[in-house]
Amino acid sequence: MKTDNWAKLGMGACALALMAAPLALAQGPGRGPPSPEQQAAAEKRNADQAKEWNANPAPSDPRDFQGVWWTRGYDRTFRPVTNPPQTPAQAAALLPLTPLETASRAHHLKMEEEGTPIVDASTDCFPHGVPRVMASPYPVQFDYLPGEIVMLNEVAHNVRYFHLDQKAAPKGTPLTYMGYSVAHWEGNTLVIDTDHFNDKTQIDEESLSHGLKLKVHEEITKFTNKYGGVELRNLITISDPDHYTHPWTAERLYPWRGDVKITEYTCEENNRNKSVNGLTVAK
Amino acid sequence: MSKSMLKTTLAASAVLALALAAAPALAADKPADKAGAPVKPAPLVAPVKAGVATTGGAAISDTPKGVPNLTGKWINATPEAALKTSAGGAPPLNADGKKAYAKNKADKAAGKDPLASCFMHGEPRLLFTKYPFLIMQYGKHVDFLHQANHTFRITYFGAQTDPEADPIWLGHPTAKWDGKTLVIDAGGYNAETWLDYSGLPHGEKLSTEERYTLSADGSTINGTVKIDDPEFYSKAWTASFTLKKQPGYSLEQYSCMADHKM
Repeated sequence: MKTDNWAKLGMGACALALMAAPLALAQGPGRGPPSPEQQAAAEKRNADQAKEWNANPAPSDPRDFQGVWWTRGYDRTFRPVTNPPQTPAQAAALLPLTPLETASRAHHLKMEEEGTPIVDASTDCFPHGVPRVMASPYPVQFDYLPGEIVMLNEVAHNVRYFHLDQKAAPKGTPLTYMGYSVAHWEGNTLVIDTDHFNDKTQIDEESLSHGLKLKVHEEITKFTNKYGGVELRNLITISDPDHYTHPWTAERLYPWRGDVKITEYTCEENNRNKSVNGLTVAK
Repeated sequence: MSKSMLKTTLAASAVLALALAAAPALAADKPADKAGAPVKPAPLVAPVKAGVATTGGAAISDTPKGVPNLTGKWINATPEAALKTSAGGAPPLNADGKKAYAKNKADKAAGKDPLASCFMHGEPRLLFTKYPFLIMQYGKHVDFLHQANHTFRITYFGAQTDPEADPIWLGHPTAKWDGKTLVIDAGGYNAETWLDYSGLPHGEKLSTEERYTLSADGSTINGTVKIDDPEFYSKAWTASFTLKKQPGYSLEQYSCMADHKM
């Protein structure tokens, strides 16, 4: 662990607490509703953050995502997005699991309960996979090239290539951790379709799996939140008929972070979580 | 950064995430239709509307006037395994350097190249792989994205490095323009990497100066890298390289952990 990363993580942990606070103040297990004072403090904090993060402003062009974005907090699960939102238990109940995935998920949860979570690709420093990497609590950066958009993820230096000049993966494309992505614009929404995945990654960190039939459809739109901050919303639709009875859509938001630079992240260095006999052994 | 820290962070944030996820409970007075079509998310507060011409997905460059744009796909046409000086001579290793080089070569023969552990290549070794890479140039930063183990290096113009910053694999770079030549200075490297595939050594005192000059027709970058490490070399020395543009090439996924290619 390097000092700057520690510092960043310290900052990140504080940010997590601060960012989560406004919503965490709402009613939850064992909590009452927030007081008016707490609500007001949360509103002020969100407004202050929007101002701070946008001091180096996001590009005004709705199709220009170039720069750094960073999701709030960390939710290690993907769940169907709903309107209105659901409790975690309600959202989990909406997962359209096949019998195969029902059993697989139960096994994942049981192993985690026993303190020996099943090894995920990222545990051993393989690429995280998609959509797994889209939940990462580390910042991401978009760069544009002619005919191509590149997404640089700080976490384990994962990289995604969105090919705007292709309609499908070329013949002979190998099956990989991150799959092969083609993309196009629908209005000001970037639409990304990814397939050609191997079966070595998970959908989310907690419990959801996939196989070789996985296809991921993403729709990323830039918007301004009620505090004046700029965010990207990604609607992530997951299809894999072996694991899910029908496609389902999860959501992730990535606030603009004009105050953040991506730093070096080397998973392979001092990986104390490296698996032993196929199990994660956190030390 | 170690994976363990991620886990720690994730564990710490899990509680927050649960609270976060639980937050909308007030609004959810009934579950969504489980059997229905994919449920709809709430509409965006305010989609950003086009106030200026949209990019259409094309690259945007805010490169200052008067300097070339190096953005594109490149490959090192001179990927030497053993670096030489620009004059074709041997690097000026001092006595400690010769000892360290001999040890590294023995380690390499024994399969102990740092890349065998899939660590980052370090510089300038990363510039001398046989794999293509992207240069993405902006007004404030220039980014190098290598196919080799999906390694990227984001280099800000005028970056100020904290002298107390820990040494890291690709160093702490800062970019500037010298006329029409892009210059990247870096120090703050850790001592875990080699300068090249042959095992040329360096220590934490290493500093490098990379210079990139685009040819008139835009197809070639003539580059040099000056290597200064008084611990292992009797004087600073410079190696040269030539980059050739690779239009139309798509970088492939290359995970060292999966492929163990070097």
